[in-house]
Amino acid sequence: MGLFSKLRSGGGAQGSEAYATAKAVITPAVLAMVADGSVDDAELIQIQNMCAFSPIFLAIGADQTKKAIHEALDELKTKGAAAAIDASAQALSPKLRETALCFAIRVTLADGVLDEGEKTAIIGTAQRLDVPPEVFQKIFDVVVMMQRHAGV
Amino acid sequence: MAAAERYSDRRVNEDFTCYVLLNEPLQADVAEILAALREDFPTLDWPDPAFPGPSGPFDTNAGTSLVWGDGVRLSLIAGAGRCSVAFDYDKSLLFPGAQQAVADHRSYLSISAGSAGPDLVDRFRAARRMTCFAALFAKLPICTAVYLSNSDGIVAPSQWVAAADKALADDFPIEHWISFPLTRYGADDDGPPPVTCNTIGMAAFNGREILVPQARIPAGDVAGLAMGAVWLQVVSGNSFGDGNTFGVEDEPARARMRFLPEGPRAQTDTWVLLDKSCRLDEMALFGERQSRPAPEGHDNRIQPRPDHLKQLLRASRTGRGPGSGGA
Repeated sequence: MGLFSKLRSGGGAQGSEAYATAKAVITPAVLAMVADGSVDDAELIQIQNMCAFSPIFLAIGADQTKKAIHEALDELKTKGAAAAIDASAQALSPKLRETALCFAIRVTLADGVLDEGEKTAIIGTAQRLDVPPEVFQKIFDVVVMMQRHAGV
Repeated sequence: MAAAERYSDRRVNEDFTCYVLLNEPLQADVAEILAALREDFPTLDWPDPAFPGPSGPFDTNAGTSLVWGDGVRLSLIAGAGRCSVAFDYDKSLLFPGAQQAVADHRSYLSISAGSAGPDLVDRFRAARRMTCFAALFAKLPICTAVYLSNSDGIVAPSQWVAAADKALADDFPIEHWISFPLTRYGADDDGPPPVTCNTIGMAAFNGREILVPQARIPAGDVAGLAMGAVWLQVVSGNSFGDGNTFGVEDEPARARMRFLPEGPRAQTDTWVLLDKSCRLDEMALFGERQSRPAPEGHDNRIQPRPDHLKQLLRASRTGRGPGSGGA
């Protein structure tokens, strides 16, 4: 459902559907970011940078991407993690749920370390997104390769 | 046939109606729509105190219907689901993506504007009011196309918005308010294949259409000929006479104009332009010409008046011309 005033002010740069998809994709990543209990501006900017080369976010532009991240954060606080991830899963196709999980695992492994709490959270997210375990393992392995430190 | 029963006369009294096609449902509040109208088209002769109207929410899923004004009304009807019009994509020469745009739509708005009277100025102002109102929605990223029922044409959203801006400057957006469908015939042994153009939509402004039958010239030139005749009628305000010739100054006449009244052979009164390449038998089809050739040495050429319509519209705003009585 498009809202006239929102669409008119550019709230739906490529249509409100594109924005809704982008927000659904980024929600698991935002959840991964808050998994350690806190979030600061630097982490939000880090997610924005991560989105910069994705066609999903290029379609809505930098401002709308920022807005989607903040809205996702608000919804996680108000609805709770389980309901927010379920909403994402409902809004996304199976392939885009995999994409959403890629973003979430990248955030989780941003520091190159996976502690027990993060591991539990990301496995729970994969299950709620209905991503099969073997696909989850593939994504995880690739992101681990991507996040290797120099000298390994 | 009584005058009031003639279809040509009914055309200049019908509402201008368009359908704005959207790729998802739309929700709005009437107040924000009116505010947007004032912001985007501040010089439009609407809304004003003469148009008391509804307020409150508006939702395509709810099939909301809103009407402003009494005699000269403007209505906005929200359609849930797809628009059931039988679209003819061949009439939309300027919008190659028309078929896909229609396929993509999932809800629509129907916008109609009535005119204060049947004269050209009133008709122009009604068409402009409808076009600007619809342009508010054509600007939204969820708009896929606008269908104008008076011309049976499908217009791209960006072109519709351009038409609204043009009309607001008192210019007539001919190519978007009127359709120029072409009929191409097969090649024969008698030279280039003939092409026919029959306008749809000019009758909504003056009760007449233009027909260029079986001209053996490129299709673009046939449409151009029809467009030139429309321009002379609605912008320049020139009168045509049965048997007059039509063409560029100092060049041999391009076509001869014949009048075909509404009846078995024409749905509305029609000016027929017989291009010099046309092989149809003029006299057999139309009979003797009503106008007589000018006396030897007498120049009776009619000159175009590019500012004619603008002057009429300006006069109507100052209360000195036709259409000055209505909104």
